[in-house]
Amino acid sequence: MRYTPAPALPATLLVIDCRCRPRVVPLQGDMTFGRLYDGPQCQITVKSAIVGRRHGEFLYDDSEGAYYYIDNNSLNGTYINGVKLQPYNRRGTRAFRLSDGDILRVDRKTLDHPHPEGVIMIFCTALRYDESWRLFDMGRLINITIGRGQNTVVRLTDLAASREHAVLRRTATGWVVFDNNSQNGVAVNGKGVDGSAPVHDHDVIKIANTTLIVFGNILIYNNPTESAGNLAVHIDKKTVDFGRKTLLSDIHFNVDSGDFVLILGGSGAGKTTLVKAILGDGKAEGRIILNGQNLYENFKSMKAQIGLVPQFLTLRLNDTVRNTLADVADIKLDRKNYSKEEKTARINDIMEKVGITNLQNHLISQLSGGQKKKVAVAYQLVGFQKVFICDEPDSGLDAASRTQQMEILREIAFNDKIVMVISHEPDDAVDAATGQSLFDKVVVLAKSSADNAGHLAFYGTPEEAKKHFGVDRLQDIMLEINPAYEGGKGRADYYIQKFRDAGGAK
Amino acid sequence: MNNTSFVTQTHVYFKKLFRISLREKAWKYLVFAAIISLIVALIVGKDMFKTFESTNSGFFTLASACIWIGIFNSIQSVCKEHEIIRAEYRQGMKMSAYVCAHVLWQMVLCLAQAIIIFVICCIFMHFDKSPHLLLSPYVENFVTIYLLTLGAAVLGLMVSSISGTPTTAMTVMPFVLIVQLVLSGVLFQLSGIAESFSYITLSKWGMSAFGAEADLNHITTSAQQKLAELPNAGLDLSNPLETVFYQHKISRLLMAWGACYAITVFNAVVCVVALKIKNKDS
Repeated sequence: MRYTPAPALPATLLVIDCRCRPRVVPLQGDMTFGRLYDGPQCQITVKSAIVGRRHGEFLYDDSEGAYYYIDNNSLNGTYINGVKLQPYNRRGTRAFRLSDGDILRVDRKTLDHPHPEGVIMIFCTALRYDESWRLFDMGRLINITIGRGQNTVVRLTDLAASREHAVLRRTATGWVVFDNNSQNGVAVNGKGVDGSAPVHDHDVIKIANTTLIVFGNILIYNNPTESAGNLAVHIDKKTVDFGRKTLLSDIHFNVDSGDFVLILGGSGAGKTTLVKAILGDGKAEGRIILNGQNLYENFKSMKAQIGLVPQFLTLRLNDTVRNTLADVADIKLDRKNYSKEEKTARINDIMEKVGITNLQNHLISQLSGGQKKKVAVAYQLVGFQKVFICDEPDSGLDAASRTQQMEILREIAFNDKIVMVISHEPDDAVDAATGQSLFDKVVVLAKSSADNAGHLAFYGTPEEAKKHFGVDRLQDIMLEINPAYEGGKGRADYYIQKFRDAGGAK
Repeated sequence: MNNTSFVTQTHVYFKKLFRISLREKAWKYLVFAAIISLIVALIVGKDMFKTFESTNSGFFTLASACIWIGIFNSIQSVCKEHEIIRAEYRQGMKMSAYVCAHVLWQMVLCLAQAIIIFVICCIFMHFDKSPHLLLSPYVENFVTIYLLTLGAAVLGLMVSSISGTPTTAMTVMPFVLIVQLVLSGVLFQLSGIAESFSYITLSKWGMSAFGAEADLNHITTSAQQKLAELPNAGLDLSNPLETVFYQHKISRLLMAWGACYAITVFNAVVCVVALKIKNKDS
C-alpha cells in the first residue's frame, strides 16, 4: 500500500530563442542567464538582442530542492506566467520560486504582439529533458487538429486532452485556435478560450496539461502526465456584509504539484473561508492562480479542476459504489472524447488506487465511515481535478483509519496532484517507517485581534512549523494561537507578526 | 470546459433515479395512491352523476386526491439532496438535465398511479354515465387524472427545489394544498385577486376538465330535481351553479388540459431557475 515516490527528475529549461532552434537546457544548480556576447559568458545564453548580457539568474535552494529565478533589474525585464517581475532592490527582483510549467518570457509589454526577438523559456521538472518537448513543422498546413485521437495531426498522450480537442487554423490574419467542444478547454496565454481565439507568434497554448508554443512556423509542445502544476493563492482580503466585516486578510502562498498540505487554524480563523476562496465558491479580493490561469477570471472553465471532499458525505446512500462512480464518469467525461472502455478502465484504476475495489457492489449506506470517505475521494478523482481540498477527511474515524485515510491522500498528491487537508488530528498522519509527517507543507491561519480577521501565521514544512511555534506536535500549534477563552495561550498576534517579520511565504 | 450533453446527463440521472427509487421502495407510492383513491371512490362514487352537487364534489375530491398524491411523490426528492446537487453542479451537472430526469421519473410514476386511480374510479364512479367530447369518457378522465397528478408532482418538485430542507418542504406542503383547494373555485365563489390567482392553480383547471367532459352544467342540482317533481311548469329549471369553466365543449376541455400542461412546464422551469440561483457560486 505504501507509496514510494520515484527519484526526482532533473529540472530543465526549454529555451526558445528567435535566432536558434529551440533547445532544452538541464539546470544544474545556480546558473546565470544572458545574451551571448564577446565578454564573459553566462551559463545559459541566447542570441536575442533584447536580452541583457547578464539578464537573470536561476538559483537552487538545497534545503527545499527548489529553483528560484531573479531578474537582475534588466532593461526589458522578465515576465513569468504573464506577470512582469518587479524590482525589489538595487540588485534585482524578488526571487520567484519556479514550478513545473512556469513560462518565463523576455519580451515587450504587449505579449500579444511579441517582439521579433522575444525569448521564451519553460521551466520543467516533471519530464525527462531529452524527450519531453517535440517540434512540429506546420509547413503549409491550414488546419491542424490537436488531441488524443488517432486521426489528429498533433497527437497528444495527455489523458486529460479530448480526442479532437482543438484545431489550429491558418487564416488571412494569422493563426486561430478553435476549442472543439473539449472536455477541459483551451487557454491562450493563461486566458480561457471561449470558442476561438487568435494565436500570435510566441503565444503559449494550454490544452489540458499540455503546453504548446507557436514559434514561427513551428509548433513546440510537450506530452506531460496528468499534473497539477502550481497553485498560487493571493488573497488580499475577503469580506462579507458589504465589506464591513473582514474574514481573511493577506493570505499569500504557493503550492507545488505533488504537495500534501495541511490547513490548521482555530475556530473562526477562516479555514472554511479560505477553502471556499480557493474553490471559487466565495470569491475573495485577490487571485487564485492554477497552472498560470486565474481561477476567478476563468471560473466556468476551471472550477471542475478543483475538487472538494466535504466533511459530510454528499453521495446517494442507496446506490452502489460502482454505479456512483460510473455515473459521475458519464457526467464528467463525454462520450465523444472517452469511450466506455476508457471510462471503465479509469473507474477500475481509481477504485484500485483508493482501495475500494472489493466494495464496488456494496451500497454506500452499507459502508463504514472510513470506507464512505474513500468513496468520496474516489468520486472526486474520476474527473481530471488537479487540486483536492478535503475538509476533515479523518473526522469520526479511529486512529488506524485516520492514518490510512491520510496515506491514501498522500499517495494521490504523489501522483502530481495538490491535496489540501483541514485536519484537527494532524499528528496521526505520519509515515510508519520514518515517523515523519506525511504533510509537505502546513498553512496556519490565526485570528488577529487587530481586525478580527484570519491572517497567515505560518506557511512552510511541518518541521519548520514546529520550530516556528516552539512545539513538538502540530496539533499543539492550536494551543499557541487559540484565544485564552478557548483554552489556548492567545499568542496569535505574536505569531502573525513573527511570520511577517520572517518574510512571509516565499 | 465542455461536459456531457443534456441528453446524456438526463439519461444518467433518470437511470440513477429509477435505480435508487426501486431500492427506496417506490412501490409504496403506488399502494398509497390505491388506498387514497379507494377511499375517495367508495365515499363519493355512489352519488356521482346523480346531482350537480354530488358530482361536483366527487370530482373535486378526486382532483384533490390526485394533487395530494402527486405532491407527496416529489416534495422531498430535491431538498434532501441539496448538498449533493451543489457538489455535482460543480462537477459539470446541468440543472436542466437534473430537473428533466426528475420530471421524466415523475411521468413514469404518475402514469402508474394514474392507472391505479383510474381503474378504481372506473369501478366505483360510473364514468360510463358521463358524456364525452373527444374520445370516450374513460380516456378523457384518465388524461385529466394523469395531468393533475403529474402537474402536482412537478409542483412538489418546485417546492422541494426552493425549500432548503425536507422539514421546510413538509411544512410548506399543507399550505400549498390549501391554496390549491381554496382557489379551485369549488368551495367558494372567487373574485378579485383570488380569482386572478386561481388561474395558476391545477385544481381549477383540473375541475374545469372534469366538469367540461362530464357536462356538469347540464346535471341538475338536487333543488332543481325536487322542483321538477312539483307540478309547476312556470319555474325556471336552469342550473343556478352553471359556470363557463364546465362548458361541454372540446375547446374548453383542451384549454383545461393545456393550462395543466403549461403550469407543469412553468413549475419545472422555476425548479431549474431556483436550483441555479441556489448554486450560483458553485
